[in-house]
Amino acid sequence: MLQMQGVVNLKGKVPDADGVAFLRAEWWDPSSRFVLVRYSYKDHEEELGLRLDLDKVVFLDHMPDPKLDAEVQKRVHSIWKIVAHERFAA
Amino acid sequence: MAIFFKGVGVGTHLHGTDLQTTGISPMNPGAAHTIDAVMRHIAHGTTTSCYVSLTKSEGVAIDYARNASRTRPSKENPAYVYEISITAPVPPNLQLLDPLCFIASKQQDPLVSPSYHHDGNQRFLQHVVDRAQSLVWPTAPRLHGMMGGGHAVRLTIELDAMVLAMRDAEILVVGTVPQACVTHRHPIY
Repeated sequence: MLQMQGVVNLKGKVPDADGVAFLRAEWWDPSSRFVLVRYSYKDHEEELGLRLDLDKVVFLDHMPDPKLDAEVQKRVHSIWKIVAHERFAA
Repeated sequence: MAIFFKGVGVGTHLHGTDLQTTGISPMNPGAAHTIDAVMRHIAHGTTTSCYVSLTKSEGVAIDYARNASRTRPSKENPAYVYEISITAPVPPNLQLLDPLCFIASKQQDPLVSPSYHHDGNQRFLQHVVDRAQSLVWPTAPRLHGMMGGGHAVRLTIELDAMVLAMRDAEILVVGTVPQACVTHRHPIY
């Protein structure tokens, strides 16, 4: 298994969004302007994560269901704050 | 001839095909090309637009391929950087747009406010360039005797989009990049 450069635990720190639970943010390059947000949907971890651009403060990916996507997008700022704090503030 | 680059991360919508055989189409070719659409595409990451983002920088393309993948790239499942060669005259139905120049060209009246101008101090741009290291958004300085309390420094989408376009050495294509222009594919992992 490939080693991660960095991981921030998101479990329990961000409210679920209609069955989407945010698990952790990962990156494998310390200079990256992106992190990959891993999530589960209905208790099943998805193979592909959501890319979070740390400068734009947006997810570059969307859920297929627009209503679900809107709920997920509402959490982006909270996730960004947690990641930015843990990755940079220390 | 000019060379552009495009980084394609693993699991993203362009990753499943070899763009040398298909060209590169925007996600929503029928969408309107407007100044607002350009700024939203860049600043809000709106991918369902009529634009294809390219970069003049190999380094930026490598960053997008390696770090903006939806799962970590590997030798068995690499991300890609494509080289795109475009020679004048530009192919028909294709428009190349420098987003920085395009946005700036719409901000030529200093009497119109807000434009790209902010109301922070001289260090404010650092917060725009490196947002993740700016958890505390700065307050606009006020002169003694001015009415009202300090407020968060104003960041307009014009300034945000111009800074982010510079970050990515970005060029936008309006239309589909023909397959003949996509000349090389480099695996990244």
